[in-house]
Amino acid sequence: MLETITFGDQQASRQRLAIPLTITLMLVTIILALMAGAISISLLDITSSIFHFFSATEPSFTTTVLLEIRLPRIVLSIAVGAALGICGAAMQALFRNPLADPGLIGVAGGGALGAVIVIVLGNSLFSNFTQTIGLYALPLGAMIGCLGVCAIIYKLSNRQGQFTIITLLLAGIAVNAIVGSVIGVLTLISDDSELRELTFWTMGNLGGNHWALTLPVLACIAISLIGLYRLAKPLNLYLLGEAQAQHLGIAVAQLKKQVFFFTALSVGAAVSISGMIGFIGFVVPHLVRILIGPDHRLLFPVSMLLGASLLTLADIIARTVIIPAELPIGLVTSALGGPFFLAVLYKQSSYR
Amino acid sequence: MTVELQSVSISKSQKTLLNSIDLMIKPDELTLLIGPNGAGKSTLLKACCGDLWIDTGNVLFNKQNIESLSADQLAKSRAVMTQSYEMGFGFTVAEIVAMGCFIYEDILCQQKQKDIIQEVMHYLDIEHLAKRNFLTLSGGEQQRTQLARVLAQLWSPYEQDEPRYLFLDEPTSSLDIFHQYHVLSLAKQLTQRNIGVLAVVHDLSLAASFADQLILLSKGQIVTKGRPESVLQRQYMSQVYGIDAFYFHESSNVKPSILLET
Repeated sequence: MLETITFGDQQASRQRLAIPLTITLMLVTIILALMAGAISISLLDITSSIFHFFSATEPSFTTTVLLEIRLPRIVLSIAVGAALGICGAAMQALFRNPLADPGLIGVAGGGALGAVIVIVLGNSLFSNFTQTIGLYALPLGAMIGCLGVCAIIYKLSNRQGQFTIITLLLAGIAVNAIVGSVIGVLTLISDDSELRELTFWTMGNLGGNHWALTLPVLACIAISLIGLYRLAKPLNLYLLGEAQAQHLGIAVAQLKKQVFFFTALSVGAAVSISGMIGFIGFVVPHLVRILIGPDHRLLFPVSMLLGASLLTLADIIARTVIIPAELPIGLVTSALGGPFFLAVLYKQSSYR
Repeated sequence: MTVELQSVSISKSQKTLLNSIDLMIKPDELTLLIGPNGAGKSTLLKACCGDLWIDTGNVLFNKQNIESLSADQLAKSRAVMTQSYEMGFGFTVAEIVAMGCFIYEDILCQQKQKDIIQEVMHYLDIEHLAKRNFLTLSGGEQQRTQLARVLAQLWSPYEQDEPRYLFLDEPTSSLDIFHQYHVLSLAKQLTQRNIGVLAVVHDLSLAASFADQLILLSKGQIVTKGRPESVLQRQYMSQVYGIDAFYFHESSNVKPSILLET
């Protein structure tokens, strides 16, 4: 739809360079993210901190900042960015539509519902539950919300062993509407501090998470990334059409189930810990496709790497522009991603 | 070994699409399917390739019930070209053709696969388009690209004991006259490699020129089948199409054609 008219050696060289370039970009953003923040740390301090970590001496203040605050946050932004990037690409393939996005079918909405329920009703209705699992309550609520919505949508649109994409899409819209209204009601009955918490949650935030919270999320995301990457080749064929893919020897119903499951798992994990972060899942695969073509064997890893870099970059902006306060990262991604994407579209259409 | 339809009926929301069809597609024959719009040609083709749920009757694929075969098993013994394709992503022509190699991807080395892709692209006269974006091609070029992909699926092994089949739904609909003849001659050549071909065409002269077996379908039923000269009879033409036309073959130097009366 939006690709350039002819491919030639230009695209071939882009394809060769894509992975090395995005890896470099990711490493650069990681270093930037380590350096920038409320206190800036020089490259020299970073290397000496690494040495400190291996020697058994008492950690210095900078080492603590690096290892306890910045590093977990960077790891998280890398993982969430990678998950959003690859899941966007997978969803676009599943719907055979370059405009699809995990938010579209209600997966992210389900997560938001779960989280808002925990925030608003957690202390009154299920106080035992929230007290026993402590800091896991919110991510767990979001995760359950995601998977629950996925299960409902899947069930609704899955008849006779195969589901039609259009039903899936419509079911997603309906579920999003329901979720939206329930969140609205919960917003009405929430008190001031709850309202503040849920507002910030829906705008996304990567900070303040401990390793204990981050590790399970990382595991879920890692499983999904590997799972999705293995489906790259069949998904290419699936873009020809469902019947056509079946004719070429792909068990299409099974393929769709797998894509659905892995996407739900990693979006669920990402949303559960970072809140709603828009645009990465939509813009990144789109941009990558314009540059290197739609082949998923390359599109998946490059979207992953670029998603990770961009989210890390957005997080640097989020936590440095209004020091000592922080911008919600979802605002940054949307504020930068939207205009950027419009510019790309404009440039694309002027080629014709 | 054949693809055999035994009194197959298919209906959808109480409308009968196919009504007790009996048919045999042999591996050494080019079978062409003709009939007016809505006669059930595509439905019949889909029934043969295992896309549809069959209400009554059986489709036997090399003596096995088609519903018992997996996508993978079927893909190894038949290739299908559908009437339309919904491609919204800009793969290159070469990438699309390469998708036809999926079933023997793990068996053949990269170089062999490349040779196959090159060969089918050569046969369909799209070598010069190899690096072009599929979405920017003309309708006929897109059709030839899809056809090349479908052929690639049957290209390896070159010939095998167990017969394979090729199902083509209006493969010539967007092609110019040169490529129409070229594609059907190619289909005919495939029948010498133990591959049975079933294709839907609209052009009756084309059908008369190439068919080993011609099937005339109307309102979900087979009106008649057999050699082109016996199927393309005056009475059938007026009964099915409502036209006054006849089969005309001047000499063995020229192809037969269907002449319309004024």
